[in-house]
Amino acid sequence: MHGYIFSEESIIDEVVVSFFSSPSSFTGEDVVEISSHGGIATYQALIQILNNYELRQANTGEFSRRAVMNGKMDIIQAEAISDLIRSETQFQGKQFLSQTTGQYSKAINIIRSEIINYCSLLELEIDFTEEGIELVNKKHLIGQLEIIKAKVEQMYLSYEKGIFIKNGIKVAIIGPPNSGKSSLFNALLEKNRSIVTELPGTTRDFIEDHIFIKGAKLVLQDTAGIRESNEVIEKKGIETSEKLLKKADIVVLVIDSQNQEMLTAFKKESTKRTIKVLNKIDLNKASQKFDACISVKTGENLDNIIKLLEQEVMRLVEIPKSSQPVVTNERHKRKLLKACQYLDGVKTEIEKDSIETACIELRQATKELDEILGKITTEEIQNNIFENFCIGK
Amino acid sequence: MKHKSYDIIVIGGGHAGIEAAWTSAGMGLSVAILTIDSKAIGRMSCNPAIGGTAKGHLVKEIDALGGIMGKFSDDTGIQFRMLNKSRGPAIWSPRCQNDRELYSQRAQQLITEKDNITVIEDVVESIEVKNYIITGVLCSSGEVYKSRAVIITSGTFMNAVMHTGLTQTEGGRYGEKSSKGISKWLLNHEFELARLKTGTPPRLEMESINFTETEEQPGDQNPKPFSHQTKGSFPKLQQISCYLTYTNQKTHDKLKKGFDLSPIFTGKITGVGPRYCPSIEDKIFRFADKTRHQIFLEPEGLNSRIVYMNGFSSSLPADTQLEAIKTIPSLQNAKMIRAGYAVEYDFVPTHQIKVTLESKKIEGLYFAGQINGTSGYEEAAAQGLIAGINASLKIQGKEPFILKRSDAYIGVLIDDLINKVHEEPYRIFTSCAEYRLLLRQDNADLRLMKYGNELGLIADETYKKVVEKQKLIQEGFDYLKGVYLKPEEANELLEKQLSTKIHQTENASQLIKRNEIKAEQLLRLKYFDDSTLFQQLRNNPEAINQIDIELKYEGYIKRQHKQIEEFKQNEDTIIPLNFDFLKIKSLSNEGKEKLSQIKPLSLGQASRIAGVSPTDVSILALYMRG
Repeated sequence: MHGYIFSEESIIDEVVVSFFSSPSSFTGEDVVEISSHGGIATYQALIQILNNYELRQANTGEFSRRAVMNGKMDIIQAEAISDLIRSETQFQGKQFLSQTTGQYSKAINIIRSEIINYCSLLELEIDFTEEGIELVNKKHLIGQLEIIKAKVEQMYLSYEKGIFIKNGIKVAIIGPPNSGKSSLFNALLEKNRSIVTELPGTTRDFIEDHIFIKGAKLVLQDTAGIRESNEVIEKKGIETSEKLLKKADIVVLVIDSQNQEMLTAFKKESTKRTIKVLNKIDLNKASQKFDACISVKTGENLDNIIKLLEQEVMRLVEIPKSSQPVVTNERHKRKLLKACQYLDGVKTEIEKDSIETACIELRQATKELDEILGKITTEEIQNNIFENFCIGK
Repeated sequence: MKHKSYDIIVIGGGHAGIEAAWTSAGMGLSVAILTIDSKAIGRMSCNPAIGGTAKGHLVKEIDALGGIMGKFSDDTGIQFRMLNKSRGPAIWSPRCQNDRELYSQRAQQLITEKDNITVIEDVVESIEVKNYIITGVLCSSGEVYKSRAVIITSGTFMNAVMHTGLTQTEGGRYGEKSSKGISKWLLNHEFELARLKTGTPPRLEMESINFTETEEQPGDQNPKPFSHQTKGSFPKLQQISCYLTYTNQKTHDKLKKGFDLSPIFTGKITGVGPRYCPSIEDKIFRFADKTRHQIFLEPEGLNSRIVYMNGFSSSLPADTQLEAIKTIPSLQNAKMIRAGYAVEYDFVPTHQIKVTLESKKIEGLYFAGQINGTSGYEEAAAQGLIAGINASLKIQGKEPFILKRSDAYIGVLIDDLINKVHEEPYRIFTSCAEYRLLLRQDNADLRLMKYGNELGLIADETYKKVVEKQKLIQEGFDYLKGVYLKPEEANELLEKQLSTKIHQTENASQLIKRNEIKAEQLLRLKYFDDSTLFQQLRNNPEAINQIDIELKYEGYIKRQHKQIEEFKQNEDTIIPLNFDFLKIKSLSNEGKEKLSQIKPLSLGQASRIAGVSPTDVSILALYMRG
């Protein structure tokens, strides 16, 4: 429906009004959507008019909450949607979409049912002790447990990848003073400019901005030059750089072609994935010791750096095809970590031959997954027993 | 005409009926047991045994609440065993073989001697109701008995049909008629009924078995009784062994030949049987790769010639059963006294009853035992006890007695029964209990006697002893936490128990946590000689045992208590009586339907109802908590 919105006599805006009837709307209730041309003044005028009709603004997440209450989606889907709204990149979008479409729940469900199967093996020994069932030996039990645990762990560890997707990959550009870090920083931003909102390093002693490579967000950090210094202010800047270096996911080390011996001084920082760049090759010749030899000034070989960054992005965020979806939610990560801890407990208890306490650990591990998903009932364990074992004396 | 009048009428004298009558009478109400045959009171229809995993827990709980099953079992037990003894004490389960004849004789004797109980032989034709409230029963003799409550414990006898091969006989137990009046009455009053199936194995003649071809299974050396009432030397009767033997491929081949005549495989039986207790033909059919199945040969009594073939339940034709039996080496010359058979019977699906086991439709009408779709003597007895207690409380105008899942296996049983959909007879398992480490068979008295005493079913004197024991346990436990032993005080014992020696002082409770050290051994150390507390403890082995268990499981026990706290949050969120679930539009349709049908009393209960989704529960929580 198309028309105009008036305030007293004057036209506020030309708008489109859409009506979504229950239960097909997002929340499951009757919903009216007004699309206006925007602009803060128009928007405020609109709100003012609507307020006259005893309407109020939605609380944070209220639409999703109503959707959950009306059975339009489950908690995981709601969580994923809230992440989706906040997502900026294609990677993120893809990831959250896989959560909303249930792939993620499916992966957790598979692990959960493996734990329940495992628990049935132990419960069987307790409840059907008279049945002459050939019991599984301890070594085998522990072997199976390790397999399950590895899966939970893999899922848990995927959070790291998930976080790259969510928060971006931190790229620290380091190097001795005057090696061309800031020029490189600017050049990369220039080449991949998207939404540039430059944050000058007045408060943080470094400059940060982001670019997009292969759909992933890269947070570039231009740091103060690292060297031995006695000057107080500079020392502080260097400390900051060292901190950034520690937190970075990728390090780009920039060395001046006229001062190549500096490379050895930075070698000790090789624990991080480091791209070694030789700059200013317009002034001196290239070297095999570097991953890329460039000249920011002339723009020579700058594309090589982009390619190297692309490779790193793929390594960090791209997941092998058959693998599980990635965990991007902090709450889920905590649950998975706890599940892992309980599975460790299972191992300890089985080693002590204490299956009754191992069962408690298993149930708690399941409960953690349930809190991501749904709920457990004891008859599931029994159904399992009945389907897979010959019982009945 | 003046009618005979009782507070409570119990229909049926099986394991549920006995407990229902026993507790009601114990609470001071006048009770009549109506039974077709008074000699059938306390009859064990199936295996001659009481207890087993989780079932043994039920018996001990029944006993702690003032029930009587444990006493019969102790008095007539001919083999006692603690199952799972090689495992941790949390999962030990007592079981006993009983003399079938003596068991029912003992039950009849104690029931007839009990004040307030009258046994009447008559067949109930219909139940008398006025304005949806019980007024009594009408019997086929024409007699009307007035009462304020009726507890139906008719077991497998409602519209019962027995199957052996394709032959069908009316009846709920060999040689006994089925009862039709109650089924008809229930249907007329718009109760929903459904069919279930159960089965029993053949009985063999003792002399025809070659026991040298079997493995002997003796009972425990120093068994403990089920009941706190059992005093003096124990066991009371001579003890016997059971015998283990196995089927083989030939047995399976013979049985397969009879499959065409199986009432189950041919679809004659429509009721669903228990998966945990399948017939031998079912085992062969479903687990074709298993080359043998075990059979326990259980003597039915001290002077009985009958041997029960546990594990060989069958409804195949009698001659097929016998042919198959004869392929087993120890049973080559076996004589079959009676073939196995399956029984199909009506039960009342449990969405029609409350947690007190009272029907939702008719006030004062209770159901207990197999009529509710359970299996097993112990499950039946537990329900009889709860129905008896609640019927009595209601007549006395008192609040109902409801055990939580965190209180007892009985609580788990009833909660499962009411909230879940059952497609097979329900049997209790230890895995049904979330708080298994706390609901142990060894602490049933500590958990429940308080309630038994409050209900007037446990004598003050008995309860006082339990309170003293509890106090002793607590004091001992706390004291041990503060005791530090020097190496020279403890190492001799540690060495003897092949435990790692200590090099500096160590906390006594830490030493008891070691698997190889028992609290009882540690408390005998000289160190404790001067303590009067420990003199008392040394004289109370049960208290020491509790300290031992509580310390060994300490971390997990704490965890389970914490879980109970969380569990109680939802249990204590009360849903008002007659709450209209339909008015919450956001509930799923299935959720609305199930909630309206079951009418849960708490959010916790709602969360356990089959068909109520987690989303439904969270919506309900928003409403209840505001």
